[in-house]
Amino acid sequence: MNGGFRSVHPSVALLYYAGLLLFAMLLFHPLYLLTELTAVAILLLLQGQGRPLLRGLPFYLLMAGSVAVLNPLFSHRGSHILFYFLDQPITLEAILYGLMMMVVLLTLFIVFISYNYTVTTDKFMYLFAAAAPKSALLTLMAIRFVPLFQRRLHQITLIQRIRGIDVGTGNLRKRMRDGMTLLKVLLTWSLEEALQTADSMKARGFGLRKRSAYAIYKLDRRDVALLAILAVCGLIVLGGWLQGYGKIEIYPRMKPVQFGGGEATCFIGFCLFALTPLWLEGREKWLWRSSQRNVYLSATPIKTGPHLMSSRSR
Amino acid sequence: MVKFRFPLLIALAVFVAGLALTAAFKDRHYMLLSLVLLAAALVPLFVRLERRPLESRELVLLAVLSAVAAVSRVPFAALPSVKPVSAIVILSAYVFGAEAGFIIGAVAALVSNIYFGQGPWTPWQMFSWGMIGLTAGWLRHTRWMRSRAGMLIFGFVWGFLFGWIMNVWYIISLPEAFSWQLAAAAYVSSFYFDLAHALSNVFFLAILAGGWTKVLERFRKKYGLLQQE
Amino acid sequence: MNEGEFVVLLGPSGCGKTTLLRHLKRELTPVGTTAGVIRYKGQLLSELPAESAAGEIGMVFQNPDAQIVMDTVWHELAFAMENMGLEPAVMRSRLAEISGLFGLEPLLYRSVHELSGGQKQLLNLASVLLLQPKLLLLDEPTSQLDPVAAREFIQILHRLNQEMSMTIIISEHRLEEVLPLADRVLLLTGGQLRAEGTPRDMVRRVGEEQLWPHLAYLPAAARLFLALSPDIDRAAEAPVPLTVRDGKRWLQETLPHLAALERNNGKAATGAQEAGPHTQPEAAVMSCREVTFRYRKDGPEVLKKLSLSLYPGELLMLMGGNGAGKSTLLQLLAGLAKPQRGKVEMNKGLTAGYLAQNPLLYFSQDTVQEELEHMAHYAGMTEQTAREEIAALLGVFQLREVLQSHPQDISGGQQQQTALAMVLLLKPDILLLDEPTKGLDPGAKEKLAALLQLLRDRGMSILIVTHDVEFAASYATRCAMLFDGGITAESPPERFFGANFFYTTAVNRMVRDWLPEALTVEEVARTWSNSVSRS
Repeated sequence: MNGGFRSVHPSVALLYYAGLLLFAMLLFHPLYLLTELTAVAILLLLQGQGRPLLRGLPFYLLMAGSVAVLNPLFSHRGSHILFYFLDQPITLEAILYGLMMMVVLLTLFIVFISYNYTVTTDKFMYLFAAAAPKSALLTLMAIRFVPLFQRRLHQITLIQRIRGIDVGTGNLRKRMRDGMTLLKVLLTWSLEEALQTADSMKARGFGLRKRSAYAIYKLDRRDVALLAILAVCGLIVLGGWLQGYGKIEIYPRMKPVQFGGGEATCFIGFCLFALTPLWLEGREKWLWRSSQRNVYLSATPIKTGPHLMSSRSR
Repeated sequence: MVKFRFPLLIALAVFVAGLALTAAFKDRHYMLLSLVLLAAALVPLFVRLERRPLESRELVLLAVLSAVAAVSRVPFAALPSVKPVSAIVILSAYVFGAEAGFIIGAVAALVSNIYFGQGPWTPWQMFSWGMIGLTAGWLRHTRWMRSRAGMLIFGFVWGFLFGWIMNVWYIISLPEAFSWQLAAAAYVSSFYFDLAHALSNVFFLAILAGGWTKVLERFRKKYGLLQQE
Repeated sequence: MNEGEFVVLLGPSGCGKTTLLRHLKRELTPVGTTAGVIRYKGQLLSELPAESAAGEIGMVFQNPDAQIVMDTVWHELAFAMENMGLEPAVMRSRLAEISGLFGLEPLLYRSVHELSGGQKQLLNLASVLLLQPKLLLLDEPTSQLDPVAAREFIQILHRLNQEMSMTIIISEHRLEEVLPLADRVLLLTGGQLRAEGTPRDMVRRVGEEQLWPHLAYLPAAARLFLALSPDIDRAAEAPVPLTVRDGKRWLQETLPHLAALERNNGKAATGAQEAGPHTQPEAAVMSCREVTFRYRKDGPEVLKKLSLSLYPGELLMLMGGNGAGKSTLLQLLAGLAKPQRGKVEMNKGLTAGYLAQNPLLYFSQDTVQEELEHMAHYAGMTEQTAREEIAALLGVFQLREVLQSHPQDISGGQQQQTALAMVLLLKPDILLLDEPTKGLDPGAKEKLAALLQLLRDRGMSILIVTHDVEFAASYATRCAMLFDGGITAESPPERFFGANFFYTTAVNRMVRDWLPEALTVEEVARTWSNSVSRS
């Protein structure tokens, strides 16, 4: 499950997602935002992540949708008044602004779903460790403890039920108290054992000198090329943004959207940036499919033969 | 590469901060700025951790407490909006001090989101829980925190503050609509959750402040660490 | 201590083995007053450069889980090397080396919590070895492992010692496998060195001097030798057998009475039958019928149509490989989980008490006394009866002196006894114990056995899940084997182990040609003296 965009060096993936988040927050233009939203959604589908997308969608739509509703209710700027609601003017601009903000939030959410899938904890920690080794070590240790503690907590819950300490029964007060007792047992046990963890760290020379970092990721030529492409495209977009491209003005009145040469360059740069992983993912998909087809045809002709015949006779 | 790491990071931070300021002043677009401000609040405290020599025992202790805080939601899965994370962070900070409290809160937020999914809320949660720990640690020697009632009030107030901070990133997405009514609407809509949070803080601190501080004090002696400050 | 030596430390729990090992590892030297000097390669240990102290002296501890720091196998392996600030290229090649040696490659990217206990301990060893130590200290490294994993671990130590000439100092309770490999054995009691010598010398000295309490540490072959040798010409100076193979050879060579033994053997067997407990099924106190269980809806079936009965007053020992579902079955019987199909039945009015492997799970108060009082309160006793009950239990368990201690601060054996006392406060009629002998030294095991006997005399029925073949052979009234989710064999220990070929006691493996049903040294000795007196 490590093909396509997931196989790139963590720094490439991080640059991509950092760029997407930055652009989602900087570029205030429906064309850009919708492009980004679609690109990430397609990337997720290509990576086979449609299910988490669907599962989170109702919550995200609710969060983002509420922004679209709240903005016109509370913001009354704008020159096109559509109607009055509870004596408050509802303007076209406010509705459009709310919708734009909704798209921004949706984009942020979806970028994070894709981020969670592509930049696994390992990769994040690898990058994090480069910037802040001690904090990263601390976080890694906590990450290692979480599944261990969950298992312990399960055992504790099972056993303490024998002596009547049970979150499942009794009134709210008792249940909350029992829950905390369970956590206290976990805490005592774990802190006791952690002394041994500290000993084993010390026994292996922790704290003697500056730690080095072992990496399982290698920055290959493809990664360097990708970094360069993403950086160049990203800078084009940022340059364009500083020039005033990639944003529309809604307040105080909507300005007609113009699409000149500068805007086009900026947008093309943005598309290249957003779509690069899609190209990687799609190419890999296509390669696998074609190689699979070749294998079936050449290596197992005898097996496929009768199968084809039977299907034909049907 | 290592040589250039810090200048590179600082340059990057300045660059992003510049962008954020431009976006905020030119377009009244505050999202990026808010993130930069959050980072500005969080980074110095993490830098302190990086700078000081760390014993393996301190590290392990912080990791265990963060992880316990992160899994503490599990036994209460059946009770909605009862989360003891804040209470645990307050108690840890009360025993081990402000810096440890901040680290435990922030790392607990980060780690639990690794299991529940990262999102735009991650830095905000790191900030809120970190600040709970930090303030609890600062106040731990005052007469106010020493008294039982003072600690309960502290937990109650932070229950609401936590919810309010978490509302900020939502309100910030509507700079044009910002008005006291909008803020009030957001806070009213989250009132029930905040109240539940505040009350459960009070309850947890009330029933277990004794038991837990005893356990933590015991281990502070046993580890023989983190006593300075 | 010379280079390349394999040294075994033995002695009862709390005799100072761990303290000694920690003194040899500078980073972990305990706080306290120290007298005397420790030299490493002629240099004072305290004056050794910090890096060689950490790198050249490696240490592996008891608890496999507590030593792991990182979340994935590769990261854990790299951890020690990162501490020493090694170059990535060096780390990579060392990692490749060690993965090849230990066969860790398929596990490299796994998360550590997916590993079994044995694999975790192997990982801990590998991580230490990556610093290329010259001296390896091991503090009861196999006490938390099942026998198969323990044997593998010790084999690896043997290889390291033989092939790399690595100096190894290990403290152990399970000596059946370790002792034959040792060059030297040190016996510690009460913080002092009681005896020292090669394993064979040690066996002789235990036999000759007043070291009888430590007999239980010796391998079965040596114990058999000592038990039978008073009757044999001891001056013959036959090499003391340490392994099953040597033991059997020694029996063949030196026992002229074998033929007589063989003749008597039939009789001895029937004698054992008569003395055996009631195997005839009367009304079972607890039984499960065709129980099927899985943890998750799409998970594998842990138990498949399993049927088992427990009869009044018996001590049933349930054995089986790792992950065979023994603990699961116990939890089902204790009512902690519900089977998907089948039924667990208990006689009306009876209750079952369950003692899990880890006694720490039972504690939630600050002192042993509070634990017991809380439990008595939950059991619905009045204060008067509670006080009496607790006092009685304290007498039996000899826990009085730790009453005011924190349950985490007392020894493992005492923790287990406290947890057991808590379970007993619920007045169970049936006792279910999960691996009660894990990590106990032989003395504590005997104490536990005596306790179980006492409880049975009071009319309790006991079911124990265990890996400990020797313990089962000595004390069970009935044994059962769990395999592939069902009970495959079920009979009194003599017949149960007599019918097994591999899965039986070391003594039985030595004498099975002559006495197929003899399981312990005592049984052989009894038959032996009978036949000698008769002939």
